[in-house]
Amino acid sequence: MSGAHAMSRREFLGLSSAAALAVLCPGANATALAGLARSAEGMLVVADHRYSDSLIFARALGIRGAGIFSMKAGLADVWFDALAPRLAAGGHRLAGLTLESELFVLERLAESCGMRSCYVGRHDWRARSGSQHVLGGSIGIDQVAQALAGGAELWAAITADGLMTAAAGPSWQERKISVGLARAADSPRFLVSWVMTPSS
Amino acid sequence: MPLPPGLSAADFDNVCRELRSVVGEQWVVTADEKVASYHDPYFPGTGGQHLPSGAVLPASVEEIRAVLGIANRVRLPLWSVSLGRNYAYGGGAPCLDGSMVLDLKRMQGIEVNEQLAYAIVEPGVTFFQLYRHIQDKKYRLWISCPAPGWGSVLGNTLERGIGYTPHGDHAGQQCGMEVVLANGDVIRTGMGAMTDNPAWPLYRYSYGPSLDGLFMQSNLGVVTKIGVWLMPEPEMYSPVDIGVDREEDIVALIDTLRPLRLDGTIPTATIANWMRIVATQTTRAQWYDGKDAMPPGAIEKLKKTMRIPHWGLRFGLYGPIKVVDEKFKIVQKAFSSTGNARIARARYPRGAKIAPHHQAAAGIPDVELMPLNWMGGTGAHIECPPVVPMIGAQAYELYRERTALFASYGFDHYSGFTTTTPRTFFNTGSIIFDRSDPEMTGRARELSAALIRDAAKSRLGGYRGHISEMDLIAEQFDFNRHAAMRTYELLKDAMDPEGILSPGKQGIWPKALRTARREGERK
Repeated sequence: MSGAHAMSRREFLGLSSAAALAVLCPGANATALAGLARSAEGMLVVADHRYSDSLIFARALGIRGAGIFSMKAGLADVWFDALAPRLAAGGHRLAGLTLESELFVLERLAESCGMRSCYVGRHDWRARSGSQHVLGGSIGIDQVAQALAGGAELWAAITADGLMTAAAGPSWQERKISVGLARAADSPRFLVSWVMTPSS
Repeated sequence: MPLPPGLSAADFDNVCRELRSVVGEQWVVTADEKVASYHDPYFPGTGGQHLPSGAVLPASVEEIRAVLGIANRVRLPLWSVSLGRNYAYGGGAPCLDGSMVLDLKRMQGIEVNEQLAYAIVEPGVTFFQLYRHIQDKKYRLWISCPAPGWGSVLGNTLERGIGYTPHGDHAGQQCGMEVVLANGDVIRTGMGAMTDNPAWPLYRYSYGPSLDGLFMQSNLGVVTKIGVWLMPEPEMYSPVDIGVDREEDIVALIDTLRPLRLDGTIPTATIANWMRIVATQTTRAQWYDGKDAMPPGAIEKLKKTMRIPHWGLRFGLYGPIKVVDEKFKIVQKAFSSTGNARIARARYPRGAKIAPHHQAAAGIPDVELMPLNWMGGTGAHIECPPVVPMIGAQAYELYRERTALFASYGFDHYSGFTTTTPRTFFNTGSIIFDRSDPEMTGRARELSAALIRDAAKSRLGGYRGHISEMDLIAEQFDFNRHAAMRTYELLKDAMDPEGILSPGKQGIWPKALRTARREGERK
């Protein structure tokens, strides 16, 4: 994680996929990295082109093989043209770091494809200092919280990475953490990270 | 989950078993996590109210009739929804605790006639589905849709929802209905009362009284089909934006708009205040972090930095190119005499790609809910738009009163005046709040009730409202000791004697519950 701690958003986005993966997983050898590069295959990630933190979150999953879908053409087009047909075919997960309204819409649209949220993290910079993060999910939420707390400028990438390595949990758990993470200058003061999976 | 009133857990199990034999095993929903999708997402389980006992999802008129037969026998209250996506008004949640949701989303029939420009739709058809159906078939027709357009065409029309094209008064474009009455009888309104009459979706009236209005915002029947008129694709669509900078400029803006709206030069038009414009682009915390309503200084700074007017009027001009260009000249001349109005225009000849911010007035649906992010947190909104005469001074006075009321409860005033009919506005005044903050949610509910009461003092009534406020809104319609409500109740008692259909909708309660509720109020 030390590489990620020291790196800026701009530097991270400029790296090749292999180099970016090595930054997020500093201890992994070449064989392990090759496996990690495919670990998010089948995941579909929604990226909000307006916000660097959203793009970094998507990139952190993209370097593991996830498909990235920009909202530039509008959420409706992304949903109907790209996401819905893929989700209807089954076997996919859906993720993103977005505004809350996009999660609200996608949760309801994805319900028709049998999907539901297994993780939602609410990242809040509305207070004058510091940031608050309420993480909830039926996954190893402590692991995600721990990763996020050490995230520094690349908190969005570290959170995405933490989500990939977190084990499934027995039931929905929630953790609240207050830390001084820096949001990107172009980010709003409230973002939501989320993952949806097929409901059983 | 609560049980239906008067039924034990064992009774309810038996009823569900019977319902499953009608609609199929998987189409009766009672598991908590699945029933939760029918809760009002903006007020989830507030105070334990408006919670359904389950849901039943019939796929045909015959199945609906069988469900109603069971419901009548055991007095099971059913809350009808097409898709349940009118979220500012309660979503799929019922007025009465323990009602079973009658969810019609499996009924998705669409029939479009290009020659006569109409569609017949079933409850489960969304605006997206109708739009895509027309696109796929390459019909030269436009729909009108609300924002967002993920809801039911039929449901939105019955609730008198609005869109932004010349067909924006959705109830005004409805023609012909098929309705299942509480007793299981199936009727067709208008010319549809004659079997196979081809004018059913073409001519609104019939021989004798018109019945359609009885089933809008109503609990007198279950509507299973409606005809909706569509708009022929125009040769030219030209959206026009007119901005003015001072709050008081709305008077001239409206008084200039009115004659052009009345003579048909301008069709549906919307006037948005600074917040309604800016909330599609930014969030509050980027400009102000106080707990109170944004002060005028902060608003002015935001307007200046974002380069937005205090009021923005937007409408489309439609038709043959020459006609549209002439109409624009008339518009330009009229508004250029209203102080510092800035006028911008785009032109989209048939087939041109329409920019995203001009798509709503071209009937292209979207799912954007950006204004919900205004407060941050888990965004939600509630509103009860009053119907306001199109007079500048009256609208301005109302706006000032409501801005003060919003501020007294600590909220910024999100306001719009939408004219889907030529003589009135719906004054949308969304209270946008963070539903993860219980204190703020409570304040939003209090403000909503205060706005309804305040509008009534000016003798203005809401055209639509949240399930928790349907009684309060109905109470304001007080002519001759609530004669209209007494008439609705007369009809309710005659048409639905067991009171099974959507009890409490629009403040109309069946006799048994009405008596119990009034006794409760007296105590």
